[in-house]
Amino acid sequence: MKKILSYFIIGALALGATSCNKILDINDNPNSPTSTTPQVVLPQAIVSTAALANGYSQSFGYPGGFFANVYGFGGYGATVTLNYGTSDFAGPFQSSYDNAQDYQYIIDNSTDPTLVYPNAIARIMKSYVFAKLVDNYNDVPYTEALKGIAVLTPKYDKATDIYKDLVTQLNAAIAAITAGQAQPATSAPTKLVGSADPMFGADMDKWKRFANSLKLRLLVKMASAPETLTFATTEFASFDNTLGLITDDAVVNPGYAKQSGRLAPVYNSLAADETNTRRVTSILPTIYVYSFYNGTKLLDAGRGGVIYRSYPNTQKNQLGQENLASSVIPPAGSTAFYTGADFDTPGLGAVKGPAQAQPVMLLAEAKFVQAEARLKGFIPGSAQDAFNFGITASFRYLYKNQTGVVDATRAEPGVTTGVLPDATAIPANGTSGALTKYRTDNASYLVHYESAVGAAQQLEAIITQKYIALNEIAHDEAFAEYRRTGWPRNAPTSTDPALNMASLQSRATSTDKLITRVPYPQSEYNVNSANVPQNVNIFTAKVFWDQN
Amino acid sequence: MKKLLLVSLCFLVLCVTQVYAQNRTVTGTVIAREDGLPIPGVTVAVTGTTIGTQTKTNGTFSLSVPATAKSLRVSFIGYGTITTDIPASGVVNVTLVADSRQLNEVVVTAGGVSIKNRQQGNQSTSIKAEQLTQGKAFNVASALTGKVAGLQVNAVSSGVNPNIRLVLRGNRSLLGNNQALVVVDNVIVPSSILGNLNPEDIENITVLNGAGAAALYGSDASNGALIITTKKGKRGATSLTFSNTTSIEEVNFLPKLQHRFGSGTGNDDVPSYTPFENQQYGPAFDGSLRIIGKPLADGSIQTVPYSYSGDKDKFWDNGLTNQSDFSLQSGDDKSTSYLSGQYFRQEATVPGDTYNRFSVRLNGTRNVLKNLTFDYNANYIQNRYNLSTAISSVFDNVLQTPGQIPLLRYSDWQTDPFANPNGYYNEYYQNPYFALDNNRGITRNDYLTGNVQLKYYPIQELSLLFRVGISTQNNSSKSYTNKFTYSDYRLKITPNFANILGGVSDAASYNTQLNPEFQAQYIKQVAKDFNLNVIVGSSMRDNHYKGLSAGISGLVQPDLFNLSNNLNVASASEANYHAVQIGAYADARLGFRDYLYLHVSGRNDWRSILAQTNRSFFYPAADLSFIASDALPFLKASNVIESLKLRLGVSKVGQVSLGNSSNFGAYFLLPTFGQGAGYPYNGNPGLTQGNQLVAANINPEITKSIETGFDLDMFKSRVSISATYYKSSTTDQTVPIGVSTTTGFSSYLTNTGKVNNQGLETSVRLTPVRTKDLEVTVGANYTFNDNKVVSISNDLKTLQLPGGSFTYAGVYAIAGKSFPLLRGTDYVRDDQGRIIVDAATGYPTAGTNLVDIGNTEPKHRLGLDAAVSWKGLRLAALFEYRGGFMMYNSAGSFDFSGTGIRTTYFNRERFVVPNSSYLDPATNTYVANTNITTASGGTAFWTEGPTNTNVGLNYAYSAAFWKLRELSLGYDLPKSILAGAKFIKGARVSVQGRNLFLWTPKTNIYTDPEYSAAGSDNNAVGLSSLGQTPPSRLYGATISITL
Repeated sequence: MKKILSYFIIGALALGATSCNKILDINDNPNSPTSTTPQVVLPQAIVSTAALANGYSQSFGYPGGFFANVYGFGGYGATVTLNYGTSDFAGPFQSSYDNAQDYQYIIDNSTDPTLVYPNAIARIMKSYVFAKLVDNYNDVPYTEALKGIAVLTPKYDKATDIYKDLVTQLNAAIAAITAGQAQPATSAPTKLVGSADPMFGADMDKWKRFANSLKLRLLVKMASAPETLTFATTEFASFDNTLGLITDDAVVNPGYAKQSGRLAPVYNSLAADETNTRRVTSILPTIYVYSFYNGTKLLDAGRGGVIYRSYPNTQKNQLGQENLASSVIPPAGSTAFYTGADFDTPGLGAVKGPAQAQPVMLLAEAKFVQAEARLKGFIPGSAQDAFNFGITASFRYLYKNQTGVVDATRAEPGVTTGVLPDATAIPANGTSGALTKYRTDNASYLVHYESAVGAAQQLEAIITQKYIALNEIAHDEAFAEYRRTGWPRNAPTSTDPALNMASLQSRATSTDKLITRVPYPQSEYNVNSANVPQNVNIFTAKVFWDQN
Repeated sequence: MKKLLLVSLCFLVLCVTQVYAQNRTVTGTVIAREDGLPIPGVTVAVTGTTIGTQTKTNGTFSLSVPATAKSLRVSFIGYGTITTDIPASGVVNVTLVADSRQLNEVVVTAGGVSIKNRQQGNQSTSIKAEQLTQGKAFNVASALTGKVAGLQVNAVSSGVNPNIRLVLRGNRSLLGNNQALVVVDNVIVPSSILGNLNPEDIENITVLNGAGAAALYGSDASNGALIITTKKGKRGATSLTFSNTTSIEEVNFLPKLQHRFGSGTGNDDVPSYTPFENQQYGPAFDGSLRIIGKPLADGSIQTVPYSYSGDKDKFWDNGLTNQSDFSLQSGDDKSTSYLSGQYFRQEATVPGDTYNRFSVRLNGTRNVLKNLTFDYNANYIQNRYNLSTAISSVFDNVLQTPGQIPLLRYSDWQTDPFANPNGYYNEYYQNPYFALDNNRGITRNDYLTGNVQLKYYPIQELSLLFRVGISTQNNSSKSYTNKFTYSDYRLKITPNFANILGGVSDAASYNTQLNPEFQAQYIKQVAKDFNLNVIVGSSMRDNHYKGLSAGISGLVQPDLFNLSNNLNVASASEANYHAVQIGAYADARLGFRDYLYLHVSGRNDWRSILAQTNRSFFYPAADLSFIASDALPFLKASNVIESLKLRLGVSKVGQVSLGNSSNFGAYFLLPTFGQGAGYPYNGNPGLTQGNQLVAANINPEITKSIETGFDLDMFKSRVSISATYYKSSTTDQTVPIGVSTTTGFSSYLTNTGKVNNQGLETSVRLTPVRTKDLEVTVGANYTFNDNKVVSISNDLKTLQLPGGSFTYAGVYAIAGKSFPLLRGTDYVRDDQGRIIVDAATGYPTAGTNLVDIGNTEPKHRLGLDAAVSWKGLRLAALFEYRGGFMMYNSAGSFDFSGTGIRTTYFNRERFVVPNSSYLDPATNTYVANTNITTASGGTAFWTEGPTNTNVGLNYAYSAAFWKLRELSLGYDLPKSILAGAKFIKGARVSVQGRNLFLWTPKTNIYTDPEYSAAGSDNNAVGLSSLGQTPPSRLYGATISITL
C-alpha cells in the first residue's frame, strides 16, 4: 500500500519538476512590444511634444487674454474668476513629464556613438519641454525626475538651476551634432531616416538652428532676472550668430489626417473632430485681442481675416461678462477660430485644416526674440530688421495652407502685386508687401518700430507683435512674455474691454487681476507631498524671470 | 438534502467488507425517522466483526451471518449508530435517527472531500438550499448576504445582475484579489458565475472562512472559499418540480434634492430666472407660471407652474422579474441524474432595459463497476443584456433637472416637439428618454461549466480520482449610438449642440479554463485508536483569454449598426492572455478516538506568470479539532452541554497578486511600449514607453494566519454558539504604487508592505420553541474586523489605490492606519481646527493636502434572522447592520448644478461659515468668526471649487446602515388539500421581499453604502458616484409544485 502511495507522490512531483519549465515558459507578451529602439520612439515623442505645445496653448487661452465666454452657458467657475484649483492645470504638467520620459528613454539608450543624432534631438526636445514646465510652474523636479524606480519622489529643483542646465544641454547637443557631422564616413553616426523625424525630416543643421533659437529664448528670459543675468551674459558672449536661428517655422507633421486620433492638434482643439463635430462651442475671442485686428487698437485685415471667422464682425466678449445678448455665440456650424468654408474645406490662418502641421516654434517668434536680444545689445544686429522680419514671417505662416504652402491666390492681403516670399527669400530687413500694407494701415509705433521712442516702447512693440503672432498658436508663450515684460499694454482699471485683459469677475488679488503662475497639480500633493511646494499663491508667486 | 450528501459520502468512503460467510441470512430495511424513506448505503455489520454489507437503493439489505452472531451494528454517517439484536425471524427493520448534533453533520470541504463537522479544525459555515432560496434572490451571492459570520457581500452596483464583491475576514491584500474563491462541484469558476448560477440548483454552500482550502485549490483559495455543491438525483426517488416567481422591483433610496429653487445662474443676492438654464440658482419657487426653454422654430414655448414637480423622483420604472424553474431528479441502483432548467427575465427600473438568463444543468453519477464510479456535471448558461449605455449620464442628468421641469412629459421624443431633441428645453443635456433610446448596448454571454470525474478503488482503502473541469465564457457585445441631425434652428439657438454622428463598437471574447486534477486518497483505521485519511494529488489550471474589439464613429445611414456603415476609419484591438499554474499537494488527517483530529497539508505551486526564479513556492497549513465533550468525562456527562468542539488552525499561503480574471496576471513583468500620438501614420511606427514601472522580481504575497474558536451545542441543540478569533499578517504585497508623474511614470509595481488583520466571527442560534407543529428559531451573527497597514515601503508611506481616486478624495493605504482609508481635501483650518475664512469675503479656502476621513470597510457587521414554522407555514426575516465606516460621493456636480440639498442649508443666503475663524491683522491671531458672512450664498459659494466643491470632506459621510434583507412567508399545502390530485407530491406558495428597507444616517444624502464606483474586483471601496443608479427593493410571489 505504502508503495502505491509513494508512486503517486513521485508521479506528482515528476509532473511538477520535469515538464514544469516547458509548460510554464509561456510568459512572452503577445500583445505589446517589451523592447524597442530609440529611432522608433523618437517620432512619437516629437509628435507628442507637438500635441503638448498645443495643450499648453489651449490651457492659457482664457488666463492669457485670448478667450472669452459666450451667451447661453452658465457656470464657467474658475474660468471667469481665475480662482484656479489644483485640478485646473494638471494636464500640461503630467503630459510634459510623460513626454519627457520618452526623450529620457532615447537619451539613456543612445549612448552608442552611432546614435548621436537621436540622442542630441532628444536632449534638445527635452529642454524644450522643461522650459515650458518652468515657464508656468517655476520650480519643478528636474535632476531627480525621469529616473523611474531610482527616485520615486523627486525633489523640486530651483527654476534658475533648471534653466541653466537646459542651456548647457542645448550647447552640448549642438556640439555633439557638429562633431558627428565632422566624422569621416567610416565612423559617421547613423543618419536618421526622414520619417523618424516629423519635425525637420532628419536635417541635422535645422536641429542645430532650432536648438540655438531655443537657447536664445531661454537666455533672453534669464537676462530679465538678476540672479541669472550673469549666466546669460556669459552665454550671449559665446552665442553662435553664424549658426543663426531657424529659417522657417519649426512645425511637426507626421501625416496628420482627418481620422480619429490623427487630427492636427490645433485643428482638433479649435475647429472640429474627425466627424466634423465642432469644438469650442463656448469660446469666443476677447474684445481685448480682437482690437489688435479690427482697428480699435490696430487694423490688421490681412491676419484678422484668416484667423477669425466673419471678420471684422466676429462675435466677441470680455471674459467674465455674462450679461450678454443671445447673439454672442460662435458662428452656426463652425467656430470663431476657423475660416475654412466648412469643415470639409481647409482654410488659412492659425487653424487651417485637419492635416495641417503643428507649430512648435514660429519663425516669427524666433525673430521677435532676436529683436529683443538685439534691442538690449545682447547680440549684434538690427532690432528693427528682426522686428519687421517677425511680422512678415507671421503673415507668411498664417497664409500657409494646411499643406504648408503659401496660398498664392490669397497671398498678401490688400496688395495686388507680388506674393508673400518664401522663408529663404524674405530679405534680411524683413520687408514684404504684407508688411507695407500693415504699415500703411497703422500709424502706431507698435507697427512702426522706428517711431517707438526709447527702449520701453521698442520692447512694447516687439512683445505686442509677438503676442499678436502667437494668437491661437502659443497662448502660453504669449502670456509668459506678458508676465515677464508687462506687454502688451493692459489697463486693469479700465472699463474699456479693448484695453483690459482681465476677467470682469476676476478674484485675483494682483494689480492686473491676472494670475502670476498656475498651481501644481493635486496629484503631486497626493503622492509627492514632501517635495512639492506648499501654499502656492497663484496671484502673487512668480516665475523667476517675472520681476514685475 | 442531508441524506443526499450522506449518500455521496458513502460512495466516496465505501468502507465495507464483502463477506462470504454463511450459516444464516438476515434481511431487513433501514429507514429514516425524519421522513420514513429508505436510506441506501447504510452499513450493516455483525457486531464485533468485519462481516457486513450496505443497504441497496430501496434501503434493503441481505447479509449472511455466522450462527454465532448475536447482534447487528447499523451505522450511517449523520445518523446515530444502532445496535440491534438479531431476532429469530432473521428480519431486522431499523429506523435511524438523524444525529442532531452539529458535530456529526457532514460537510463537503475542499477537494470535494466529505468529512464530519467534528473533524474540521477551521471555521466554516454551511448554508442549505432552504436558507439560500427563502428570499428568492436570483443571484446566489445576494442570497448569502448577512447569513454567514465573516462573509461580507456587497452589491457594488445597481441595475440588472449587479456586480457582487465577496470578502471573508477583511482585506488582506492591498491591491490583489481579496475575494473568496468560488468552487462549483469541484471546479474553480470565475466569480461572475455566481451571478448566473441558478440558486434552485444548489444543494449546499460551505463557506470556508480561512485559508484552509488553499492546499487543495491553490493560492486563489487564500481568501477563503465558497464550496458550492449542486443537486444530484436520489436513488429510488423520482420527482419533478415546477415553480414560478414573479417580483416587482422599485427604487427605494434616492439622493436628497432641494425642492425650493428653480433655474438660474446668477451669483447675485437677488437671483434671476433663466428659462433654459440647468443650474438651479434661480429664485425660490412661487407657484407662478413661467416659461421654460427657448422658443421652438414655430415660436411656441412651454409654460409651467414655477414649483417643484417631483417628476425627477418618479423617473424610474417599476421593474418586473419573472423566473420559471423546473427540475427532474431520478436514480436507480447504478446511477442518478438531475436535470434542471431556468428562465429568468427582468425588466429593470431603468426605462427600457431588459435582462434575461436561461440555464440548464445535468448532473449525474454512475457506478460503472463495483469499484469504479463516473460523475458528471454540466451547466450551460446564457444571459442577454439589452441596456442603455447612457445610464450613468442619464441618472446624473435626471438628478440635475431643475425642479419645475415636467420631466415625465418628455418620454415621447419622436413626436412631441418639446421632447424632441430639437425642442427639448435643456441647453446642455439631452432628453434622458432620448439618451436612453439612442445609446444602447447588447451583450451576450454564454457560459459552460462542468466536469467529469472517474473514481477507482483498486483496494478498499485507496481511491484514485481523475477529474477534468472546464469553465468557459463566450462573450459578444455591441453598443451603438444612433445618428441624430439637429434642425438648423436648434443649432443656431443652442451653439453648444452638435449633430450626433453615431457610432458602433463591437467586441467578442472567450475566456476558458481547463482544470485537470489527479488525486489519491487513502483512508485506514491504522490502529485501534487512530484513523488516517491521506490525500496526495496534483492539479493544473490552464487559462486562455482572447478578445477582439472594433469600433467606428460616424454612421452613413441611421438605424444600421454595422461596422461597415462607417464614415471614418474603423479602430480595432486585440488582447491575448495565457497562463498556467501547476500544483502538487498532500493533505493528511489523523484522528484519535473520534475526539482529536490533526489535519496537515502542504502544497507547492508553479506559476507561469512569475519569473523562473520566483515561480515555485510552497505553503503549509495545519489545524486541530478537539471534541472536548467526547473526551472529557465531566462534559460527556453534562445534561446541558451536548457538544463542545475546540478548534485551532495555522496556515501560510502564497498569493500572486497580478492581473485580473481575464489577463490572469500574464505578461506583467516587463514594461511595455505602445504606439502613441496617433501612430502609425502612413506606414511609419512610433512607440511610447508605458507608464508602469515594474520591480525586477515580483514574488507572491505571503499571508500567515492563525485562528482559534469553539462550537458549543447546548440543551439538545436548542442553543448553539460559535466563535472564532483570527489574526493574519500579509507581507510582500504586490502593489502598483501610484507615483509622482515627475518620475516619468505613473505607477510602480512592486512587492512591498505588510497588512495585519484580526477579527472575531461569532454566531448564536436559539430555538426557544420546538414542538410538533411550531418551531421558532432566532439567530445572530456578528463579525468584527480590524486591520492595519503595518508598513508599505521605505520610500512610500502612502499608497493611492488604483481606480480609487476622484480628484479631491481617494482611497489609500497608509502605514499605521486601517485599510482601505478614505482621504480627502479639507478647508484650510487654524490650529484649533476652525475653518479659516477671508476677513473681507467670509470665504473659506480649500486646502491642497489630504486629511484622513476614515476606513471604508465596516468594522462591525451584524446579521439577525428569525424564522417561525407552524405546520406548513414558515415566516423568515433577515436584517443586516454594518457600521464603523465612511464613504465618499463625487457629488461636486450636484452642488454645481444647485440640485443638491446642501446648497440650501443656508437658504441660499449669505452665512457665517460654521466653526470658522479669521486672521485678525491687529493681533496676527485667528479669532472666532461670528459675524463675517460669505460674500455670496449662491453660485459664487456653492459652485466654486475653492469655497465648496474642491473640498472632499464636504462629500464624505458615515456609511452605516440597517437593511431588511429578506422577509418571506411560505406555505406548504397540506396533503389533505392535494389529495384530490394524487399525482401531486407537494405544493408550496410563498411571498417574499428583498432589501425592503434601508436605514442610513441623515448625513448620507447620496446612495446605497454598499456601492463602489471602482467595481467589484477593486479594493478601493468607499467611493461612489452619481452615475450609479439608485438601489431598489424587490418583492414578489412564488408557486412551486412537485410531481
